[in-house]
Amino acid sequence: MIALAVRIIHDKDAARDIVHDVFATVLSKEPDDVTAPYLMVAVRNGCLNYMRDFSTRERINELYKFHTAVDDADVLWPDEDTYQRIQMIIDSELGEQCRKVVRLRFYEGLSYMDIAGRLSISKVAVYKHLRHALDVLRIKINDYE
Amino acid sequence: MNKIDRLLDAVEHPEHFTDDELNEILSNNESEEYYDLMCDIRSSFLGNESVDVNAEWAAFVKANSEPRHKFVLFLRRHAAAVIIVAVVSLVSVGAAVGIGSHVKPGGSEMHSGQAAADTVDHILSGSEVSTEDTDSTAETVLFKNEPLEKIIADIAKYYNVDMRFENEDSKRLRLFFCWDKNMNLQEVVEQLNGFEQFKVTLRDNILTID
Repeated sequence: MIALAVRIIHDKDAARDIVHDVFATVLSKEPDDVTAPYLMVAVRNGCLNYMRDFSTRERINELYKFHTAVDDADVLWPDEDTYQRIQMIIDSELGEQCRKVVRLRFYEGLSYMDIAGRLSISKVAVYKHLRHALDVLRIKINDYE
Repeated sequence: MNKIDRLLDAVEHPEHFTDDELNEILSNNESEEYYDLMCDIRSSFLGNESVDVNAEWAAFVKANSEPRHKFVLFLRRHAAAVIIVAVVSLVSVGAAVGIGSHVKPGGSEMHSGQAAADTVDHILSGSEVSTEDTDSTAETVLFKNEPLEKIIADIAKYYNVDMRFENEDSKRLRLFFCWDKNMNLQEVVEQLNGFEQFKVTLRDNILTID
């Protein structure tokens, strides 16, 4: 459940709080009302509520999708197949330096300047690697679909 | 600067753009597609770390404790899925009235804890999270709202060790605890130490409960 929340809101502490809130709510319910799918939907809804308060600027900063209206909720549901494909493509289709840039940016959350410093390359080169990675991923993912 | 570079800039420094500019960047289909891709890349890196379930439950209990009594939910899902719920009174109100009410079977003080245990038991037994039935079998024993003294006595007898309670109040704590007899005694001790209200140590074949 925490993993689900982290997939959506990219913040482990906030994810933990959301899951705790779900369990606190669950404890006051009848056992028959509570199922595993119920719990997962409750977590997803908790994430939606959490993101609802974010401004456009904050959402972009956190890399949140914008499909967070109730009607679009299914779009927000983490797509594990896509995530696996992304990781597979990163591992198999990107050069070593490009892979490092992607990891530093999207996993460690470093700024472009910090990535440039870490890898002793220019900021322009960081942009170039990210553009390349996004292009490759976009094409390869579409190939699967 | 092309659209993607602009998007990359906007993602790192949204504060450098006005709301109109951000909306304009994201209103472009291609940019939106790239943006969603970046969201997915970030998500694909996150959420894979294993979760320390014991620590999560400890934090949950701490955050959800009630002033007069509190329950502890302790969940493990390793080789054997374990569901434990402890219902305890605060030590500070452990005077005769407080403790007496907790010791009474089916007493009102137990109700919320019992419900909590049943709820969690039910959820996990009906989902894919649990990997093992929680009913008592030849190899597992499910203590349902049993005094700690009885639980420890059974465990001590099975592993052929002695037990010693340093604190009389601890004997009266009532727990939900699933004991897997396939585990060695040290592992059982570690499980029991997931509860915050007492500490079990094993030394010289004596289980000491503080």
